Amino acid sequence: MKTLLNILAIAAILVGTSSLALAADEPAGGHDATTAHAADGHGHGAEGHAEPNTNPLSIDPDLAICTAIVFVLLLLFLGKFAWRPIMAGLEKRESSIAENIQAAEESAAKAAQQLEQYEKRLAAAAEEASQIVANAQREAETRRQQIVAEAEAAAAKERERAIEDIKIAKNAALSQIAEASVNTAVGLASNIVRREIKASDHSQLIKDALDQFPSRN
Amino acid sequence: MADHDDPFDAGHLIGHVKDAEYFEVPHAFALDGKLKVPQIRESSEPIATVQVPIEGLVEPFDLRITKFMCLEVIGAIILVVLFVPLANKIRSGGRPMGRLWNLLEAMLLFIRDEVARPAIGKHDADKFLPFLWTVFFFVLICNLLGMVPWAGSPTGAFATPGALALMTFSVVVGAGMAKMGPVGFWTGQVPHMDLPFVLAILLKPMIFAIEVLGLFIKHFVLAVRLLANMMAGHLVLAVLIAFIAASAKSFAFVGVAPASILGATALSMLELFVAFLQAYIFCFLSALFIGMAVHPH
Repeated sequence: MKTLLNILAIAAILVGTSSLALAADEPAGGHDATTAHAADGHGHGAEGHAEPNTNPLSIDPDLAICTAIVFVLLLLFLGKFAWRPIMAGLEKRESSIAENIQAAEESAAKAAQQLEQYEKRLAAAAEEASQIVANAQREAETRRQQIVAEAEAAAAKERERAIEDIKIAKNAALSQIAEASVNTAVGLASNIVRREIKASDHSQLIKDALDQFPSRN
Repeated sequence: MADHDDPFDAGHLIGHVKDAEYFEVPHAFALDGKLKVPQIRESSEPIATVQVPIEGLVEPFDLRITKFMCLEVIGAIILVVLFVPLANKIRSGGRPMGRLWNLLEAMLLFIRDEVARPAIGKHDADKFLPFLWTVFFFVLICNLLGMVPWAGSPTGAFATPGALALMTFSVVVGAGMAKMGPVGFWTGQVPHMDLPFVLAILLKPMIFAIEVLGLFIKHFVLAVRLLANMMAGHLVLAVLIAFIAASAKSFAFVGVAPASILGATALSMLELFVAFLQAYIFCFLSALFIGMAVHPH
């Protein structure tokens, strides 16, 4: 920027001096020419009615110097208050856009990676879940079979005991029936016997019966 | 004395296009339709004049303020008013909003991305960007002022494009010498060739002369191209309008006037396009010349 300004300052001086040099050339050359030209240009500006310069390439040194000055001042002023801030602002915006894009790309990549991870984890979890269900089912099946077997065993045992009880009860009943029938038979027999037996026979019978007792018990 | 009765008189027509010490305005605004520019120097006596082989090529140096000087200052003020607030908005880092902001930023970015950087190279382009932006917008505003009624196009007088081309020339030579060294820049004008020593002694000075002459001619043509485009466009417009004046006294006026107006309107559209095109070309060629100076061959 500094070199550019230096160059332009030199350029402005060049335009000025070259125009001035061109213009100043003449008076140094000869007074006659100058006066002649002065006479030529006499009515030139005042009323604008003089013969107009119709050469389309004619150069007005005043305008050239003015252009150079306006241009250089404009360049300096805009350079400081417009072009520099605009360049910096555009640069800033571009870099922030580039950063945003990069950040977006990074977060997209991260998101994709995370998604993959989560999907993997989800698949693993599903696998695990089905494993757990399968295990549970297997265990439940085993347990069921076990329970059934236990129940069957218990039922069989119960039945056996019931059969045993029944057997015992039957035996007891049978022996009671036998006793009762013996007693009845004895009662009957004694009733029959009491009428025909005499007192001596009676005591004999008691004695026999008493003898028989211990063997009964 | 120009014959003001003849609408096609060259002096009269060129007088409408060339610089003057007055603005041509409707007669309601100023006596005889000429609004004089205030002067800092009352006398119109030349301070210095120059005699060149071609009559009237260099006008006298007289410190008289002209229409085009006023228009250049007005154009510069318009640019400052447009771009300084824009710079504050862009500096804030916001996104572009509104037509004006987008319009100006599109042009700024076009010059930067499509002109400066391809022609000069990304690394060096930013150093010359302020110059190129100023050149483009200054030429553009000077061209466009020519489309404003009663104003004129400062680029239609040779002094303006000439001074601007001299600016470009200075930047080109200055940048070249800053980059390659004063000797390196001038010797670099001769392209590298494998020549026998004797031939080289003979040819190289000639090639050097041609190349250096070419360097001057390039910049001279840069100025002439802009001048010719602006002046020719305005002259054609003046001629088209002059048809109306020429036919004013005859019955043909009924047909000529609408045709002239339609033609002038269409050509004004073309002039608007040319205003942008020539500003772009001036800026683009400046960038190319700078690029060639900074990166020879």
